[in-house]
Amino acid sequence: MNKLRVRVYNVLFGDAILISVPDAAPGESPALRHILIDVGNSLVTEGGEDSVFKKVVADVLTELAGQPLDLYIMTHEHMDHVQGLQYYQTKVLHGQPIKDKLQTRYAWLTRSAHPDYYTPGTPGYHPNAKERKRLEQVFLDEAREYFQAAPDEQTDWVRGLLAINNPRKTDDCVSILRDLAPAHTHYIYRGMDLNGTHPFREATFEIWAPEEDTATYYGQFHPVAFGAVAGIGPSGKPALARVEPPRGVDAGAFYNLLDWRRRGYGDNLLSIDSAANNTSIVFCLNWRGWSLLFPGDAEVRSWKEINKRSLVKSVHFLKISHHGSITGMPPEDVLGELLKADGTRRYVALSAYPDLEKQARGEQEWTYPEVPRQEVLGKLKSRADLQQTIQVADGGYIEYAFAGGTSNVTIGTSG
Amino acid sequence: MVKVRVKMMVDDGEFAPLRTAEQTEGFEVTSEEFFLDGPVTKQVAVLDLDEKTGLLEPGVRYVPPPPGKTLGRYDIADPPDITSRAFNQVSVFATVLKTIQMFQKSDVLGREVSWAFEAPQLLVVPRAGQMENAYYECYSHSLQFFYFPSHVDKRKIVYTSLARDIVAHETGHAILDGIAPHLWSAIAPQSRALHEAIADLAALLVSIDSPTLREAVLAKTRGSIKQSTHFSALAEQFGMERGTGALRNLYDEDLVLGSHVRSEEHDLCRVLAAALFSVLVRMHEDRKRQLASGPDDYPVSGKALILAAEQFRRMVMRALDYLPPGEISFADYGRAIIAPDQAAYPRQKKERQWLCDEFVRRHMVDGPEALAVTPPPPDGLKGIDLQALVDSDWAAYDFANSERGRQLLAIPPGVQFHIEPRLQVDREYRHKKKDGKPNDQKVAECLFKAWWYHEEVNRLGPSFPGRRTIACGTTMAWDQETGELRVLLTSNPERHPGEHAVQQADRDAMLGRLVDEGVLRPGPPRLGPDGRPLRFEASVETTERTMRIASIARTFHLARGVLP
Repeated sequence: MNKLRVRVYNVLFGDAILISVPDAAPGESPALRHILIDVGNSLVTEGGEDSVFKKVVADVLTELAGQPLDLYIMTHEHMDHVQGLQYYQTKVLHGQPIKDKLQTRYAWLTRSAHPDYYTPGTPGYHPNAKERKRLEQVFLDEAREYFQAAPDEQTDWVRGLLAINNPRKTDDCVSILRDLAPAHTHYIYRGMDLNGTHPFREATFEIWAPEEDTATYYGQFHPVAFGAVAGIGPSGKPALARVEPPRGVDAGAFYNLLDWRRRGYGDNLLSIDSAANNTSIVFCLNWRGWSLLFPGDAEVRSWKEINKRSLVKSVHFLKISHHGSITGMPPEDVLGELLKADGTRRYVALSAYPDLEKQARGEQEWTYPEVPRQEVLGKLKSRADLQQTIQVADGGYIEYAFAGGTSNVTIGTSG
Repeated sequence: MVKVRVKMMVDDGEFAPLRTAEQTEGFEVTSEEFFLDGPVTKQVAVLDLDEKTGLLEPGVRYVPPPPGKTLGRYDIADPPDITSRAFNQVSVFATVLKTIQMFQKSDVLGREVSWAFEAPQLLVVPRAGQMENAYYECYSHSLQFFYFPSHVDKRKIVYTSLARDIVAHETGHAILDGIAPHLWSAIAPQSRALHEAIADLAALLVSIDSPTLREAVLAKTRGSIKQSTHFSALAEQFGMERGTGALRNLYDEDLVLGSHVRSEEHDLCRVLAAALFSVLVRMHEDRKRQLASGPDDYPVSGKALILAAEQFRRMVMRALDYLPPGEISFADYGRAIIAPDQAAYPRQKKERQWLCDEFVRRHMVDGPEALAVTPPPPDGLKGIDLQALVDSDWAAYDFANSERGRQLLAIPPGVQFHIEPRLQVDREYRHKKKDGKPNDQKVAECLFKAWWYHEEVNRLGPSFPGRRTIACGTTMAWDQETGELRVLLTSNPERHPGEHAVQQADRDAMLGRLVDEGVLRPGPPRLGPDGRPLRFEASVETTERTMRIASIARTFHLARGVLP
């Protein structure tokens, strides 16, 4: 029991990571403690296949060997990070609470998942966040109405983002996660006192993000005039309003205006998506000289905030943020520090989908043409040893073992 | 020609901090060829789209003049119900047209404004949706005014299209975009700040043009604008209802350009607008002194303000036609004010000196010499067939490409350039005879603009190309009757190397900020669901070696940071 192990599972488009840490206070014999990060995937195409969770959760339970999970961490509220345990509860346990099967001592959820985060009059209330949430909800409702009225407009691009950012489904999943360790669920943010929030004695945590007030991460959000009217279509479905240009107004200019007023929903969807990604818990786990960084899906705004606060340091292991998208890549200076070229061997793990080679051969359709990006992979390969979950079977894993001393790393796979 | 009398808000009566005697006032639209329901005219069409249903609300009905009369009207109640959609349609239309007419006056631009988009009508959406903002958007040919529940009293809705200054501000953006379209893609913060400041000044001048407001403000201050007033406070009601106060206050004697105010356009615009407002204040004080017959100047303060505002308007708005194309610094704009004024009034230096003092005092230029404009040689175009330059694109290009032309227009050797369509304008210049009676003179001018791309270092890090291109150019104006060269101004970086170095550093800072905000990204543009570039990301054209920003933002917003 002298190796820290990191299993990065292939859950297709999503994240599930198990960290097993030999942990002991000075003079005590070490106990093997386990951290489970996320477990989810979400896509409208094959990358969202849920059955992988059976195998992944089974493997986690095997590793726990009847002992409780020491710490569960939900990085952020996105379906590709939160829906796996709900699936397991519903489909495998047939409704039996997952917390009975996956007994959990402590749970960390990102701060904005606090049930009172949007509740006026409570200590954790953030009015800007509430207003933003309201705007997002109104927008998403209107978007769904629009896509019912104009189904041809709902491309895979749209379906994928709507699926990942579905607030109602996400809430269902998060409520299960809040309940994993009822007496010991903590809502994490940078600067928070971590005493009493986890059982670790030897390993230490540095919380780099998120900020407590998520307003820091809001991007631009614009009103979009979809022009869909509820109840006027066949069977009471929404339909697009038919409007004619008034006399004296050029028809081309008129319809161009309507088009521009509708355009921008793509920007809004990405803005919603980025804001949630940036609420990711970004933490560095330090153990016997090793530093391992798990940034969830943090995007540029979060990296900038982290850098502004001089938290960045070189790490031995980095879980690549946001499945290898360009927006999840740390800025050059941050990446340069994280994966410093000082002769130390460094490791990066990418949980991404699809297989880029298959994609290049046109054998795989894909919702996000930008995730992962070849240029991102190129940058990572030039700095570190890059492993991708796509290399192993669905539900399988890549395993890193960090032994004493900071030069002894082995990498294996589940098959 | 038919005239139409329209009603417009003096101030939003329900929210106005300044209680005026009347909530609305009349205004005669004289510049339009036809009037239709909407209102719809040749230059402006109000489209009252409901953002929820997407339906077009009926436009207010046009009532033509009775037989034998020339004054038409729009069918709204008298007195108007200012909460009605019909009044909202008419009021926003009136305010837009009032702003347009102000720019078109014979002593300002002396021509019909043209839009930056290739269509005759500016489309105006008075209730575009719920947001604490308003914007001009070139791509949709539109001004869009949003509404929001008051932060002070949630039961009340604040319609930005009912605020005279907000409507004039956004119209100012649209007009300036037509005059100086390069400012749209400019990345120098001062260029973008100029857009904001001109929009602010348009709002100021349209407010001063209101007899009701003039009377109310001057009564409150006993004839002075040398303090914070309703005129200097931009979007005061808007800000109050957001619980913050005026969006900007043009009266600020202490505001100077410095490291804390450098690369954000709305902050920078405050410096330029405050400097120009100080000039207006001095003009007003001077006029009052000239008109007052005793120690109390209050009785003449209204007339003095009208005269001062007219002179101010001529200087600051007319100058826009003389801006060199491309990236513009505050110094470029200062020179564009001074050059035509100097050509028209060589001996009347007082106001130009005030302007210079303000620019220097606020650190907007290094010293007075930066604004010294050497008059171009009057015979600089001697021997050239000027009518051919006006009529023929080929002749214009051929001249500019000649050694003489390149030298005159400061076009670097070997650089490819573009020539804009020439503009012919009839400008009125106010002069007086020896007995003090008006002796206005009309000058028929031709404006000739050439522009090209200049390459500079791009300090955005290894993810971006190491060089970037910016537009720069030269504006030349000559008297069509005499052929004399009147104005020659260039933004060629080599002619003002010190200014260019500062602008380049400011561009670095601004682009860095945009990268931080995720508006500017390396690599190819991200595409939206329709396969087109995202609407609100910077549009960038890159090669391996260089990058060029096609547009930073697709809209000019009233306010920044108002949305979560």
